[in-house]
Amino acid sequence: MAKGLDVGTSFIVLASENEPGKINYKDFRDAFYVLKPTTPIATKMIEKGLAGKAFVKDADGSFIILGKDAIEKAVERNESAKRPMFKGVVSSKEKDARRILTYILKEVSGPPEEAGEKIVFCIPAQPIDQEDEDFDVGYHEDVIVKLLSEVGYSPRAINEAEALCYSELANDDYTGIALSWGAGMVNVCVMLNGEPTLTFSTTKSGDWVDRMAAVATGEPDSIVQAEKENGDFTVGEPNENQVLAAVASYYDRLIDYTTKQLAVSMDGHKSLPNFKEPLPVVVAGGTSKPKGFVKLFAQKLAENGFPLPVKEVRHAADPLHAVARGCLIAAQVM
Amino acid sequence: MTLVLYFLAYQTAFILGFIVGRMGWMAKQQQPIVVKNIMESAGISGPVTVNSGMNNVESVQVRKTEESSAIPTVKKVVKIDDSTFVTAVKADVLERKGATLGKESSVADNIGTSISKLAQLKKNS
Repeated sequence: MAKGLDVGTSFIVLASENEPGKINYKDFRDAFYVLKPTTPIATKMIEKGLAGKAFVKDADGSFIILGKDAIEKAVERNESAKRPMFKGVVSSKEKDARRILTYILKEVSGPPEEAGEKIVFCIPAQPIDQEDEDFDVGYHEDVIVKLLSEVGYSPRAINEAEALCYSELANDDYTGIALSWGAGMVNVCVMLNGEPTLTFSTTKSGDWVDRMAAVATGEPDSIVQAEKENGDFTVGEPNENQVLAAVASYYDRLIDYTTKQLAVSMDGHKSLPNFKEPLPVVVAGGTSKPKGFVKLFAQKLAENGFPLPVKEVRHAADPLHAVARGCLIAAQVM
Repeated sequence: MTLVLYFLAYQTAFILGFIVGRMGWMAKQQQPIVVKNIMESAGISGPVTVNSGMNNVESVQVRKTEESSAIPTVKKVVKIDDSTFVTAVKADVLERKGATLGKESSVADNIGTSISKLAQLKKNS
């Protein structure tokens, strides 16, 4: 037995194969919202109001609502939910981030089926648009390795986009390019015959779209995120809803920015093999879900001078679960 | 007489200037060696480029080579006490109250072919 764990900024997804030919997924929204009651009566009222929701009680008496319930509660109060992770790693902005992430990961992964069960989780690559000292993946990896080891697993980390390659490039002899568009980052992997030859990331993705649209419209990030996930819009096209219009516009800018970064970073890079055939490009992740995303991405790749020959740009079969699926495949091979 | 005094004053100024200059040069020579060693031992090698990450096998290997060649004399073992650093993060005080975490779903998906294909490629490489 083995498991795959996608530790994302917005979602944590566990993949396991309890019986051959059937994969079980467990998705959890990576968010929390703290309610601090001021009186004993308020404590009782809040606890009653949270019945049926996912929450924990902290040592100081405050209630920490977790997952999508946290976002709903934040939207209800016209505020933004907090995240235990920021830009792909454990957040240094939130003082409670590490212990809440620890709790969430322990709960989502559950106990191992047997002692030392293999679990492969994903970590982001070093970003190309941010200084080295502003990004720390080492500590993030250590925190997750430690907590999964404590639970009884044998954990191993792989790159997020590498996991996506393992999930989506089986019919291409594991040769091609994968881009995982998460909430915090875009992770990129170029793979040749199952071996990652180049991995890197960029630090603008879905959260950046939310933030910029929130600034443009004066709405909290949580409301923009809720509108984005539930609303009907096409990337780069006008929309009557003011928030969705801003979201669609910033999506256009995000795709333009990312394809320009890809072109500049990969052009003439010494680690790139001399590919004989045009390559498939696979995209996945929650940020890649809106209508028109793949079409605009393919168009911008061509416009901005992507240096490698492209056979096709396609969406992963299951964009939200593809990375966890790749981690599961890696766990059974490595 | 005046000429001799001028000569003596010039000589004194020259010698003092030489001594001060020499001391400054020695100080400059010593500082960069220390700074350079710290930079190299920490694996800091300037701005980030593609594939220069901590997770990159290539760059880690390069750093190891630089370390071994650049610091031949001073070998200081630095121990990171991760038992108190990382595992100090405790979530035990969080008492579960509400629903269990995570929404579960299952799909019919045979990954056996992918696994055997990838395993074969890894074996060949």
